[in-house]
Amino acid sequence: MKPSKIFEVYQDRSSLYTKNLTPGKTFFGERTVKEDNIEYREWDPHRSKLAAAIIKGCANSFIRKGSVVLYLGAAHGYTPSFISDIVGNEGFIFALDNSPRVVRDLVFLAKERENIAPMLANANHPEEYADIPKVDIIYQDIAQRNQADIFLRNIERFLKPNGYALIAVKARSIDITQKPKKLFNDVRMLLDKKMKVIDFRILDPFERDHCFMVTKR
Amino acid sequence: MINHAINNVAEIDKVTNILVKRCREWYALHCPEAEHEFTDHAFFIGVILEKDKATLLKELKLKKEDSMGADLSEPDLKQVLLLAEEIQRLSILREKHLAYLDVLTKKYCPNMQELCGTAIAAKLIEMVGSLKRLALLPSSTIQLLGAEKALFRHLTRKAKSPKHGIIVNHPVVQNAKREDKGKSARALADKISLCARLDYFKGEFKAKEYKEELEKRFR
Repeated sequence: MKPSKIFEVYQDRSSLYTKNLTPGKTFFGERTVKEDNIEYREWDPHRSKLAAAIIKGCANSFIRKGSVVLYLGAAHGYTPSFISDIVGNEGFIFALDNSPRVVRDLVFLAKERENIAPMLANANHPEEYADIPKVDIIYQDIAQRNQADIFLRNIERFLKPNGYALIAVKARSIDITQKPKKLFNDVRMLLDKKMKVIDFRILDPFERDHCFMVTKR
Repeated sequence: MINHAINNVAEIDKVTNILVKRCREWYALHCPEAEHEFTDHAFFIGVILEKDKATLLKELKLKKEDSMGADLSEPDLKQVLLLAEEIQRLSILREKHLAYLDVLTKKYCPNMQELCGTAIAAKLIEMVGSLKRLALLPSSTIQLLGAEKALFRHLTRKAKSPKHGIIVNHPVVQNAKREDKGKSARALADKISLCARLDYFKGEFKAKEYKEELEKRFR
């Protein structure tokens, strides 16, 4: 088990691990490894786009101990649970999702992990949850047609001036008839107007027609 | 008889899984905390049939206001509980089938039953069709019964050869260390084939010795 180049993420051969914040408890049936009395949870790149981006060589996720993260499209909380490992008890995650069914699962996750706050809201309408503070990181993983637009609006409203924003783009839900590469470029151009794209990864073979971008103000 | 009974057990498993899934989602509208807490299906069904929401929440040390669930009206909840009852009845039927299979296998193939337990013995016989056919099979085939897909993947393409078929579920193979899985499966298949032959041709009872031998070897 060695630290990888990403903050608080560990690597053993080709698999990624994070230190388990709640030792002895797992939520998604993932494998755990114990080493020197520290429990690590295995992070599956097939289930998490952030893990896929890291495996594909993403240089830095900028999420670190103590970060405050706004997570748009948290779903059942697989990736948020690992981000919660990374930020630790000093950090915090606002995990947002639009579907009541999955937020129910998030609530159970948040009961065990004190640094996650589940929120049932639509990322399309940032004014609905305008009372959250400014955050260090915005992470977006929602498969929507206007996802770049949603991303930018949330950045404007919630990101600190020197913060970073991470986005996973699904080409297939933007336009099924166009080539993914072109769509990625379109999104990139759109983001480039307001942000600086510092990392761009295509997530093949973990996710088909997805890309991952790290941007900076 | 064995074939039908074991097949029905497998089918009941399949059906209850589908029904339990629905029942869980449905009941979770009422009390998601309980649905989340009791992960074992059979136990969950038993619990929701016995206790109502108020007692369940009390047991989980939650206040009534803290629950995320909605208060379902009597007729609404009744449908969910009817489904749960049906599922419970199916699982009772499954148990009865297994008890019946127990008697049957003890009578027709006592050696096999002793060595690998009712479920695996019955399943093996079902897969090849009859005890006679099983007795005539080489043990290498028995080892891989149920792993046909993997076997042909191995033969036609360059995949690894499978170590075991349905005998993975046997405690000897289950408890073997990772590097011993293949060895234990091979040894177990040997003994199963001997047992099948004893059962079919001679009728002596030797399975106990075989079982002890295997357990000694792979611990």
